[in-house]
Amino acid sequence: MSTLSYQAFDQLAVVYSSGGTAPNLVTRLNSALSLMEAARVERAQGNASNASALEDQARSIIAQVSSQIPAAQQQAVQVSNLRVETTIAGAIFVVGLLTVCFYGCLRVWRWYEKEKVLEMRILGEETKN
Amino acid sequence: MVAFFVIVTVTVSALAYVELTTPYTDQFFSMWIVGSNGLTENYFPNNNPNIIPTEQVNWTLGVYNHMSSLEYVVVEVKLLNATETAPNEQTGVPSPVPEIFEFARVLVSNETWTIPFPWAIVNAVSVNGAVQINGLSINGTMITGSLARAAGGLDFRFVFELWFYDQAADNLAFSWSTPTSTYSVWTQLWFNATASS
Repeated sequence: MSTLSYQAFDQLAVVYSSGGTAPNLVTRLNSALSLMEAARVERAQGNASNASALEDQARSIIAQVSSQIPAAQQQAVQVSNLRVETTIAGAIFVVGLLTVCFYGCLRVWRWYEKEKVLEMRILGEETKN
Repeated sequence: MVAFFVIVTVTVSALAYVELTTPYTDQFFSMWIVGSNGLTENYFPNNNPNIIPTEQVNWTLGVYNHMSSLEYVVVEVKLLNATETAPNEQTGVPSPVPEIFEFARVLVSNETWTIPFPWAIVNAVSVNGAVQINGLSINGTMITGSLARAAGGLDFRFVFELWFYDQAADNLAFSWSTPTSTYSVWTQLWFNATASS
């Protein structure tokens, strides 16, 4: 029984380590662990049939959890990839936007400087005349 | 213009890297016991650690996962007397006494697990001046057998050891190591017991 729960945990851990979450699967695995605990107590008290029934329930829940883990793993990978892609796209967008803004400001500033010099020249010529 | 582009690219790349990587934090478990009022007091009825049979004692255990990952944890409950070997946190060796009860759970990162631990001595007998506990009720579950014996009924202790599933070893482990230290988590509470009349 423990081996089964360890295997299910191993697979769930992959979901979490790749940035995903599967809270409903964790909850169900925990309910299976509680049943295993109850089964252990029943067995220690000599109630073998009760213990077996509880273990069967736990085994069934763990099997259900294990069958849903691949989908959760796939979803976790997709979420993780989307996060990386979004961050990289955001970074490129910010760099591009700032560069365009800077270039625009530079052009406006140069135009303003040129106009100012021209105005000074015209004013200078008017003063001479 | 080129210099500006380079500075912006470097800055934004650094921010994106920080966003995408998990920051390093200290990794640890912690475990504690609180009394009937949820504080580190009132561990025993009327603050009297001399427990008589059927007297109910209400404790609550807490376990916190700060290992930055999903963890499969098991709290093993052991009943010891004063002379039996307790866990050693320096060597990371658990108590050799077998557990009488255990709680298991999968904890997500940063999760706190609260475990109600109401218990009572159900059967304790006097044997040659010692008190032998033969029956306990923990969380409503009866635990029977020759659980522990202490001279004069003095200095029994519940030891709570925190074990976790070590994926590399494919088994439960009591301690974990870093390049500088070995860590393990356990706690204990002492009490005295009176034999059933």
